[in-house]
Amino acid sequence: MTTPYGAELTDVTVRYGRRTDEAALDHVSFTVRPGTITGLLGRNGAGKSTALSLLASLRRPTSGTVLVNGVDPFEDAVVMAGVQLVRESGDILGDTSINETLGYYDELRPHWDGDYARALLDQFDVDPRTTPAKLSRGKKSALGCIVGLASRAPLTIFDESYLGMDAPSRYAFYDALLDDYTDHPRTIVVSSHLIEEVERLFEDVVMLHRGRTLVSETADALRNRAVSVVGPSSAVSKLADDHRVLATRNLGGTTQLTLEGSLEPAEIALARDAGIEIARVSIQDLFIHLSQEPDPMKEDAR
Amino acid sequence: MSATVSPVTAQAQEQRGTVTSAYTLFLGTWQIGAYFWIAVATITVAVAYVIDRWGDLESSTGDGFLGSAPAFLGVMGLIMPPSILTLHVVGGATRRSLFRGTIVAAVGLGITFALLGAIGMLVESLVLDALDLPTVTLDAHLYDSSGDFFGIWLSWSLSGLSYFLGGAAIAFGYYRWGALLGTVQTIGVVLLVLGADMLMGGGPSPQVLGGVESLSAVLLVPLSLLASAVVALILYLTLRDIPLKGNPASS
Repeated sequence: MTTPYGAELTDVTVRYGRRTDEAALDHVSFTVRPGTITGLLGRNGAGKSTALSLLASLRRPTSGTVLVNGVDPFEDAVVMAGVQLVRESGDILGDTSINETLGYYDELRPHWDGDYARALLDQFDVDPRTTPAKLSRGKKSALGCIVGLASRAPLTIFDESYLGMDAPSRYAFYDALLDDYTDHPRTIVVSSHLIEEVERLFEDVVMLHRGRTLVSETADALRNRAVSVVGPSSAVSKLADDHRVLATRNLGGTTQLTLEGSLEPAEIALARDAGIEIARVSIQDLFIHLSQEPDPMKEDAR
Repeated sequence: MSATVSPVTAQAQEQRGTVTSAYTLFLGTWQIGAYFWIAVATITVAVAYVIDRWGDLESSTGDGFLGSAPAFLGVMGLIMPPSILTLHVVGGATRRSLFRGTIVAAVGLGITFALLGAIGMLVESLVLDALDLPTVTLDAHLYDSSGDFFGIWLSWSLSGLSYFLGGAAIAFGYYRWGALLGTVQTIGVVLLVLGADMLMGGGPSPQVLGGVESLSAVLLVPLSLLASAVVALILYLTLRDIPLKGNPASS
């Protein structure tokens, strides 16, 4: 039984090379609670992979503090043994058999479950005798996911690792992830563009935008940040008077608005009387709205 | 957030990383090395036959061809350790353990490649002796004939060690520092490796650069080890906190 690891980034900045004017991460802070599934979201270039590479000790931050299980993970043999990062690139031995790559992980990973890895290879129809170079993109992605699941690492990170898989395989992976998470509790971080598919997994959500932290809170708190109302345009517009409108969609005489915040009980009653449907906003919709806004840090600075 | 007690100890985990990387580097190099030995053994016999058939065989041919094993280890040093760097770190092991594993592999590969080479030279000396042909070797400082088994084993072991470490130091230098500083590091490493090789008289470089014949074996061996130790230090300084490249498939 592994003890889940927590993680914490505090005021972390990462700059690559001589491009000192542009930071991949710019004073980023967020916490990953131990024993949860956290979604790390952000648009291309938001800094997700950079943040995850810090947790996996692939590099040091330019400034700031990175803690995993309460200590700096970089070159800490015990902590590094408990962190598994799975990237789409695979991090595998390309020209030797898959058995050899899995053997390497088996030797290094103290919690590695070889039987589980073999069962997953069967499930995802990956032949361990072949070389990864001969696999399709989907099978390579599946191999990475197998490594992540079988590692049973106290902090397991999937960085866009299943994007190459087809839809049935992705859903099989989500099911396997949830089953294994239930049987072997640990901390899992999932970074993905396919938010709609994976948001049901998230207990916490961290959003990065232009190298800065946009959101770091529980998934429920995030979902309560906005509400969706659909109904006759005039009634909906009236309801929106006291709220900030995040998005508008019109279809004939019907309007759908995404409103910031939640509705008061009186507003809910009025909405129902006016035939307005009220619904929660998906994390994907919130992500789109929030990441389309002007950078809040710049706004504050003005 | 509080630290929790883990059943994994740092020492055990470092040992895992060292043993796993050393084993992988050693075995992987030997898997390719088998083809190298088949090639150089065939060339040695063929060249000796051709020279003897159409000219005068005046010295060992194995010294040049079998003696290229350290150079082969140099090439493998360029290839093998960098090929497992990412897997090693993503797999949860430290750069320290990869450094130690590389040292262990370099020592093991130097000794075993030199052993096979020395056996090959011994066979050559027996065959040449039987045919009443000369077994003398040129340029080498720790041996003077292909039958000098222990001298060859020691000489080629030390050269193989420095070449493998040198290859790794060059490859990681370019990986870490880029083209310009990587080349600066390469120049330093090449000078050290060739210096060690010239001292020992093993490998291909003495034929090109000449040897240091005035020093005794008592000095040659520690000087060669010192050069390898400096190369190992450069390797350590390069590898100890090397940042890994990002995920090319992601943001």
